[in-house]
Amino acid sequence: MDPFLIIGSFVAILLLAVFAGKLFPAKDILSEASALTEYHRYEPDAQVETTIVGLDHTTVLLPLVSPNGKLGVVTKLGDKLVCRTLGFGDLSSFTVKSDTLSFSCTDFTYPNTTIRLRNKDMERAKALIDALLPKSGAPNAA
Amino acid sequence: MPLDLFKPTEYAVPMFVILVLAELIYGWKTGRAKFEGQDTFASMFMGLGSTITGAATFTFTFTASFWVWENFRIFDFGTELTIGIFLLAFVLDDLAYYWIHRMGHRMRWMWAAHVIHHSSQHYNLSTALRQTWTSSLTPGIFFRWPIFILGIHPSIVIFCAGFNLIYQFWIHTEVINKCPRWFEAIMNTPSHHRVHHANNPRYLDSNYAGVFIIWDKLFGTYVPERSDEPCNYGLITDLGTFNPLRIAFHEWVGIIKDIAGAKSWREKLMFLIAPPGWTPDGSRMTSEMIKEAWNARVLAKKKAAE
Repeated sequence: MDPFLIIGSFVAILLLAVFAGKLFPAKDILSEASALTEYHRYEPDAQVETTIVGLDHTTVLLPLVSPNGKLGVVTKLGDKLVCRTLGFGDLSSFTVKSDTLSFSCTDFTYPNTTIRLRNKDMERAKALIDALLPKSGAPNAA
Repeated sequence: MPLDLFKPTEYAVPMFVILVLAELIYGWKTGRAKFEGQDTFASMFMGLGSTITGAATFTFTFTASFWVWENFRIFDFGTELTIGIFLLAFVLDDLAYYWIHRMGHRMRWMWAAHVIHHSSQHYNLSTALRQTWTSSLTPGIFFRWPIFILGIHPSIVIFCAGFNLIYQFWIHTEVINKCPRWFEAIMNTPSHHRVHHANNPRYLDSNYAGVFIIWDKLFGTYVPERSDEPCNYGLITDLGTFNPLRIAFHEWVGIIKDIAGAKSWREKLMFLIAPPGWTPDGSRMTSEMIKEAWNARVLAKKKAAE
């Protein structure tokens, strides 16, 4: 293939994507209600204990009653929501920096997630995440 | 040797770009189409990658097809492209496409390549361009061999496949609701194909048609779009990333991990040829299991209401 054609196509794609981004700006769509609705669509039989909503409304943690010991996570990706149910061994690491908790998953399609939390939610979230790590240990606090 | 036929898709690409732009502006003005910048970039970048990998593997796929035609053809339809040959090849290619597509959803090996096309949660013309980079690594190539064995030259079949692909571009839209009844009855339309891209349990594994919806009606996979159940687009478990490399290879990575952890050769084989979601212990869900669970929930709700 002609390299100039490839470069030209790439530039056209970039311009179209920027244009799409300008015409359709992503809105704040993640709230407690939307997270629960989306998560129940994803896991209809799950029973949510409570919701921990991130300060920047990009991630919501959902500790579950059923299936017991698992953690529901809803994250905002562009203008859509993505759900996962994390169990023991699904996380590889997590870090806490100030009010931000970040964790990495073993799932190739859901690699990293970040959530900003109030002090009162941070301890609970850390405990929930820590319980899912294969080798439980203190996070890399900074 | 390849016949001297033009490549329809090469001529269509500028039109694809113009139509995506037109749908973008129309959607912005009317709210009848939705886009997202990163999603649009990912879809169109996957399309560019697909064109490059397709060109890189064309010689291999064509040589194999030509070898089959040259050595095993039953009839000789010649090398001249007449209207009759074109129509015959187009219909047979569309039938082959139906089975390639159906197996693309029912065999994990082929799903690993096709899943890319379903990985957007949006449904607009840019989604049509979100194409695989790895189709030549799947057994999909064999599904057109019967047409070559029948005696139709591979160049003519590939020419028809180009038009088939062009037809499928315009059906990736929410802008068009329903086409005239006679058209909906015979042809694949935006309505039929929205159902195919939906992950609602009711709509799973349906409407595999390329051009003619009659194949789905004939083989029992047709599901009409319902006004009381809007389509929710994407995968059962949507991707949490726009990274094109993760989009292109995620299912292959999943297969390799599963095969590496399999306890027997049977399990290894099943992770390749069984439907997506299959596991030896049933810990993940296939589309049948999802539909079954959904049906049970609907039934339970009805009973509770009574």
